[in-house]
Amino acid sequence: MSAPSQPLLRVDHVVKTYESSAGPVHAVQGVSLDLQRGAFAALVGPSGCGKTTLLNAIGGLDRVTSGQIWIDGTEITALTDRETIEFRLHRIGFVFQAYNLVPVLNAWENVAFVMELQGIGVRDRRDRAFELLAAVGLTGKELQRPSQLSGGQQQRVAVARALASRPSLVLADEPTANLDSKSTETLLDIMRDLNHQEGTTFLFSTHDQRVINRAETIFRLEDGQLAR
Amino acid sequence: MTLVRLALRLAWRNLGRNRRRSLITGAAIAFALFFAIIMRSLQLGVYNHMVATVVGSMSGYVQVSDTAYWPSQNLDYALYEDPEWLDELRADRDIASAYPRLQGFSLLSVGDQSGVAQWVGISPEEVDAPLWQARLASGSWTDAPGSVWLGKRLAEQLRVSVGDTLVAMGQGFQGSMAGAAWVVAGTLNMGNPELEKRSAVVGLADAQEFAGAYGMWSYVQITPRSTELSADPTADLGARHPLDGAHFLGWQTRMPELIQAIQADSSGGKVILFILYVVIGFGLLGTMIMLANERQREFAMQLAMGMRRGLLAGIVFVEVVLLSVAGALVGALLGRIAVLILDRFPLRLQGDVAAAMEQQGWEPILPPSLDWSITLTHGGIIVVIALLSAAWPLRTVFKTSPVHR
Repeated sequence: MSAPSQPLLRVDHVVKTYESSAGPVHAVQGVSLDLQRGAFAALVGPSGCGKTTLLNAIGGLDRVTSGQIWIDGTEITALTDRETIEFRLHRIGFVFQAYNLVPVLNAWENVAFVMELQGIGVRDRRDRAFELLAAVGLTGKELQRPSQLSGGQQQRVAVARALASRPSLVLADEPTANLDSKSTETLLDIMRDLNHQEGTTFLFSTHDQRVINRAETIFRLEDGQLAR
Repeated sequence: MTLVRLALRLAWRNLGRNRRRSLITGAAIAFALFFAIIMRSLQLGVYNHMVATVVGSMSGYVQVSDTAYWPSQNLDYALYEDPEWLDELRADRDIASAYPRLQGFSLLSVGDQSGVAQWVGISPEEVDAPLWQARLASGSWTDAPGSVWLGKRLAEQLRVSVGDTLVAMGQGFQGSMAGAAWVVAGTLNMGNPELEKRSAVVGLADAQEFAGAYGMWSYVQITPRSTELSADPTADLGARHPLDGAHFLGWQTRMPELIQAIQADSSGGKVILFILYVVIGFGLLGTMIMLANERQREFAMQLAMGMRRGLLAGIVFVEVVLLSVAGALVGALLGRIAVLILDRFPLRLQGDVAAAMEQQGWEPILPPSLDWSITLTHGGIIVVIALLSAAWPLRTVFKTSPVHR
């Protein structure tokens, strides 16, 4: 583990401004934050406060207008598009609000999807996928397609997929927004366990109080700025 | 290799995610190709048939004649016999048959009936060929000197039947007077009404005697192995078998009006096929736009997770290739089967259409062309159209941002 003085994630004066027909939209305005390795953190705030925009910038999905973002010592804001894609593939896991599983792949193939993109052999992919599906409580569902799974089960597959390649950081954008209470609690338990077992750092964007209650670290965004 | 397998697996499975749409799209491709093959095969088959009846059996696909023979077809420009050269020609593997002929025009009369005929003297070997044997409508082939076989309609016009004697008069070699009495040995189905109205066939020796052109040929008629319209071996054969003072002429050169008529009619068919392809093309484009729109979120998600755009585009492209090639294979197979059936049982036109065709000198049947190039060309066109329609989803892949999930 790195020393606390060397955070896994460092966001330094990040600004993201969109151009729209109504003029510039300042979605993120000079946000700076540090996140330690192994953290279980939440980025919270009302809808439209810039959570998803900041999460996209951290994940290298969107370019920042100014500022820097470092993950595990790499300044991702300085990477080329191709380097960013490679970085995402190997170092960041994503969990999306709408699960976004590949509908034509079954559960274990979805979990193994990122590993397949990495060129990992089928036996290793399969073993890791089955291990993760067991960890998220989906033993016996490995061969089922997303359409045969409930929303909660799909999101658990998505969590397993995010962890499959042993990323440094898992970014989860409103992961519980489409889930009922029971599924939310189950999912949070699973993510917390994996956070402990695998030492993976989690950062959620959420306005779900149940998620906020479980988070060890909370960053509150208001109108694109970090509120202390 | 792992990525290629992933691309193929995803492309294959994506075809099954909306089976009805995939089936309809594949069926549209198959139907378009099926229709194009049938239509073009019938069209080119009719042309082949026209050429075979008008050209193949009478003047020949390729003619070797004196350089001054065409277009006057004057007997004075006949060739001197050259059996050695003829044997060499017949030994060529690209030549199905080569027959010398002597040909001219004369007045035929019997009793108070008379008519103008184009007489043609054919060699005994040519008489033995299946083509002439099949043409006999009445009477029989005989090597008795002074026998003549008339086109069925000419015989009707002259009101003669087998065994009747008629008188032939005309101009012979180098201005001599040609005259003979020929006995009708049979009548002929020429496969073309115009030919049936004016053809009189006699033995080559009888023709030479009639015209006083002893030891002479008007031309040598050559039938190449490939008689498809697209094949024209004239120049090649001419280079391989040169003959002093003679040249090789393809039917396309000798009968420009026929090739023009075919080209004009063919253009109409191409326009119809073009319209068909445009309609199918827009249909495919609509399907592709729908496919791209409903998968945009999925594209974005896969891009977010680290999939390269090139690989994602490859998956979409392979998907379209699989769909279009599968549709094209089905269309080609069905089209080929239908063409073979039509070849076995050709369509015969009836009523006014048949009468109109006969008036223009064509037999009213629609035999198909069996040329594989029709299937390959139109299969290629339809696959290319399908692949072009893939440009839309490919554009979507390259324009989708990973934040649009």
